Amino acid sequence: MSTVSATVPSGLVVADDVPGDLSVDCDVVVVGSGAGGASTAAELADGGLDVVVVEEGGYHPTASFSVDVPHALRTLYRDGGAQTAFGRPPVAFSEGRCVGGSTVVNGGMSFRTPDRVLQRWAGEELRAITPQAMEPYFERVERRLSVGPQDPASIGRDSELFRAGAERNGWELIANTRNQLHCCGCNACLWGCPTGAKRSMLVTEVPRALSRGARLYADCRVERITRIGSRATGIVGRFGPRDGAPGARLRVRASVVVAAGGAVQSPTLLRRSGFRSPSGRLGRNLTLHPNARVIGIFDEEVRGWHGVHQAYQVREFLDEGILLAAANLPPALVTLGLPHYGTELAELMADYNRMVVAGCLVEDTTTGRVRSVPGVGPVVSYQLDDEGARRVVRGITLTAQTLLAAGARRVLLPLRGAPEVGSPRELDALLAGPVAKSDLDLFSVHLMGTARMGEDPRRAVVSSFGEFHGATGLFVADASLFPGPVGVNPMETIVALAIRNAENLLGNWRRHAR
Amino acid sequence: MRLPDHALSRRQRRTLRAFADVVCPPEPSLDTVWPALLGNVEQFLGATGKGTRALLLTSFAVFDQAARLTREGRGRRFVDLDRRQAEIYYRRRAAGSRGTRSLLTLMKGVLTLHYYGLPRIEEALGYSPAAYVRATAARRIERYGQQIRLGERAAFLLDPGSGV
Repeated sequence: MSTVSATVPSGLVVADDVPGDLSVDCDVVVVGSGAGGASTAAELADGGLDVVVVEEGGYHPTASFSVDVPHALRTLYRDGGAQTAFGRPPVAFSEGRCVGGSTVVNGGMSFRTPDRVLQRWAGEELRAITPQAMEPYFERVERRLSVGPQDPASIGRDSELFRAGAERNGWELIANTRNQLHCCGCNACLWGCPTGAKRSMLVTEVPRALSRGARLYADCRVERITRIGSRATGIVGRFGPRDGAPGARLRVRASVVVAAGGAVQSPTLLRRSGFRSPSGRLGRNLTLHPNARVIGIFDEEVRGWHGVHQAYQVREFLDEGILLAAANLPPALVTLGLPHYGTELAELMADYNRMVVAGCLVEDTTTGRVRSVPGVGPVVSYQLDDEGARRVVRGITLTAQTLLAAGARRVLLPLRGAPEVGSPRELDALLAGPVAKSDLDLFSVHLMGTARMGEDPRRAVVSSFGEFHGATGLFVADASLFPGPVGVNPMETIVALAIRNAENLLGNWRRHAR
Repeated sequence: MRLPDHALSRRQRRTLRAFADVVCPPEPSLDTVWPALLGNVEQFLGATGKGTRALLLTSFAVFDQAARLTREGRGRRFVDLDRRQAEIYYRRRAAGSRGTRSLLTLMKGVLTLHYYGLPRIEEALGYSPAAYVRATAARRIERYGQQIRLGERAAFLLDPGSGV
């Protein structure tokens, strides 16, 4: 028995504890234990259903988290955090893969879906997804995950400099609300919160579901959803290899299957299992909030790692689909994407403690696609359009202006071949001409929309309550549901929709029970 | 469950070492950190998807062999170039086509990420998060222990906030 399995909560089974092939029955099997999956499982278990959750990643309790970045990338992230959406430019992206999913490794920002987004969605044949209708669900999420402002003492110098820069420019800025319980600002959110202050699914909805009798199988990859015709009947999965031999097989028979593996994995699993959307849109409509990173180097010592990961967001340009923030990264991640190497890299990194790492997030103006390639797995493609590129360049400009206004001596831009800039005039001169899309260095941590909801089966993949059009007993409960980009950090939207849809499933359980 | 390492062949290790000699900072000497760096890279490759791993390893192999066709290489592989020639070879490729530049950024990123993820290198930069996390975590419990316990308990209630 592993050291981890010696401490696992009751109801949670890890690969090392599985003696051989398993076959279990339940009411609902949920694939994935992230924001959507864990919330769905907890809600359904609360409602008295027999729930099984299957998670591909491992169980890593709070006590196991450290500040060892390479170790965290290997154990908590899918593919070591190194995934790419192919296009011009390519977009690097990462997803969590562990019990608790991406909520274990996100920055902990928790915002309601903006009203303008909900209103836009409501206009797309979505039933009862209005600001008023969603209000009680947001309230419930915020209570369960302790969403609130940071304690002032936890806010670091990098955030304060960024705030000062935005205020000097006269821009609207908000203090972030985060799912945290007296977060002390140790800035380790992305490697698993080592104090448990971040109220990820690992420490909230997963234990709540388990305490209500749910069972969770970790380290188990779901190979396919089983079906009879168009009715989902359960899943077949396989635990990770043990001592070099293939892992045990898990078969779950259930009345209802909920796919909650995220916007890349869920459509791939559904396709692999033979489900086809009458709309032909399964795997399409991918949005990812392209992000670009800007680094400011100051004369003063900043120590951006002293204080919360991200404390403020500039919301001045939200109507343009642009959001700005400072978010510290450890040295290992700062080097990614930089053109510097050798001595030049050493000289740059010697200033690590004088850096403020900031960036922009833009609302997509185009969509990408997730395909399933046999033998390879999901292949993600995303082609930034001209308007998207214009927004990104504007976002980079605004972020750089914030850092310069805050007193940055040098600013590094995410544009291939661009020199450092040291003044607004240099910035203007550099960005006066056109910027080639392929010169943009982009990344993403918000993938959405590949099984979009809507009442019209010709246009949407699932109903407003997440039920797959053209199948029975099959639901989706993750960011795949979003009809379009949410424009802010999506976790609260995912959880609120999951709770709402689970409540609807409970209310209609007779129709689904077998 | 422990993720499997991806053990590199001797040839692959030699290529990565020659590449690291160019892209990683010269101080401290790479000899002193290479075993730890290589170990981390092998574990990382074990954790990546098949496609990413194949792309990376093929890119390193092609980068090594393609040196033969260049002015700097004159028939020699990248691993056989001296330090100065190797750097010129890298620099010219990094200034090349967009596709090559993207690939080189990815390859360089794998090595510099793991180089700057080594505790010894982090400390040299004045980045020592473990001690900071310990201190702030202790302060958190000292200041807010009771409220934290109540808040954590609320997560298990049917409707947190209502007490039900």
